[in-house]
Amino acid sequence: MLKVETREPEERFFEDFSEGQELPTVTKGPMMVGDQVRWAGACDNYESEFHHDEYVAKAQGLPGIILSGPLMASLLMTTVMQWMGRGARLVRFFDQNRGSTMPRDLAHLQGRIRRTYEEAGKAFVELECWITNQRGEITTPGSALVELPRRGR
Amino acid sequence: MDLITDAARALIGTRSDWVEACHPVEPSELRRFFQATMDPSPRYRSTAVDGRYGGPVAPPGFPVHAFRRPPSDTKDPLEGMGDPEFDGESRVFRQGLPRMPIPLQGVLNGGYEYEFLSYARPGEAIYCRSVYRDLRQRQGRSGPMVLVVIDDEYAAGAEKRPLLRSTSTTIIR
Repeated sequence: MLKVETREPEERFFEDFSEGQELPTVTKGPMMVGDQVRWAGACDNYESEFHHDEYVAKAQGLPGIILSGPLMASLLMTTVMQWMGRGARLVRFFDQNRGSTMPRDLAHLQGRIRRTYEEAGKAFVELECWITNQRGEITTPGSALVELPRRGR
Repeated sequence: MDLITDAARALIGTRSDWVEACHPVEPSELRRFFQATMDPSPRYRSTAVDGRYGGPVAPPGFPVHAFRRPPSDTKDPLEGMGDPEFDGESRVFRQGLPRMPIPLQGVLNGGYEYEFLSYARPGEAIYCRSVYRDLRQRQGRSGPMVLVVIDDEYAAGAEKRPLLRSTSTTIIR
């Protein structure tokens, strides 16, 4: 039975973040074909055979089965929300599938605060986020803009 | 070799009407989604009593993946998989957009850019309308590729409350 721990992200405020701040690395994996199959089931999308059939993947010139880019992006987005805390509102998110995540790869989800600013009475944090594998290759660079509550307001 | 024909180029700017997902948001599909994305937040669970949202909501990226094969569609999408004759030209990118005639077989997701506006809720109908924004040809390591850029707008309910705007890049190779 799949066990998912239900955990509300901690409460964090705009004042808790500063430019250049490194966010705690979250490691997922080793990623397995099962992660991909579960994602395909969640999306009812089984049409890209190279995500679950090694023969097809290699016939298409890929090194083997690769995990879905939108799955990896979703993992990164989930991690951004956990970093930013329960009061955060995700405003924008960007990701690029630059490299492949293959079965048995680790996914290290990392982030750094790029900018903090206020605009029209609202407080925003802009961050860079990315996934690296166990070889240190960046597979999924991204960025996000998050609106955060101010402490004591 | 130019893979972007005049017929393909003429589709840039083509817009779809609103397309409704084949069923409203169901708690069980939210469960499958947050389990697949390993998201531990309780705000998406049916037990959510978070006063901020007044009940459970869908994960922000969920609407993008909510357009499933309707029960009325009797054509099995897995039929013909692996067909060596498939030339890629019959590929459907969005339910409401015309087919994009790019004569390459492989397809990869290049990435997304999202702007989030509100959360979908269980029981709400989700709608999407799309536009072909751009086509670009590049030379990759394994040969030529075409980038298909599509803007999507997602909305909920009869009043079409904006959920998110998305720009996606699909790599045809």
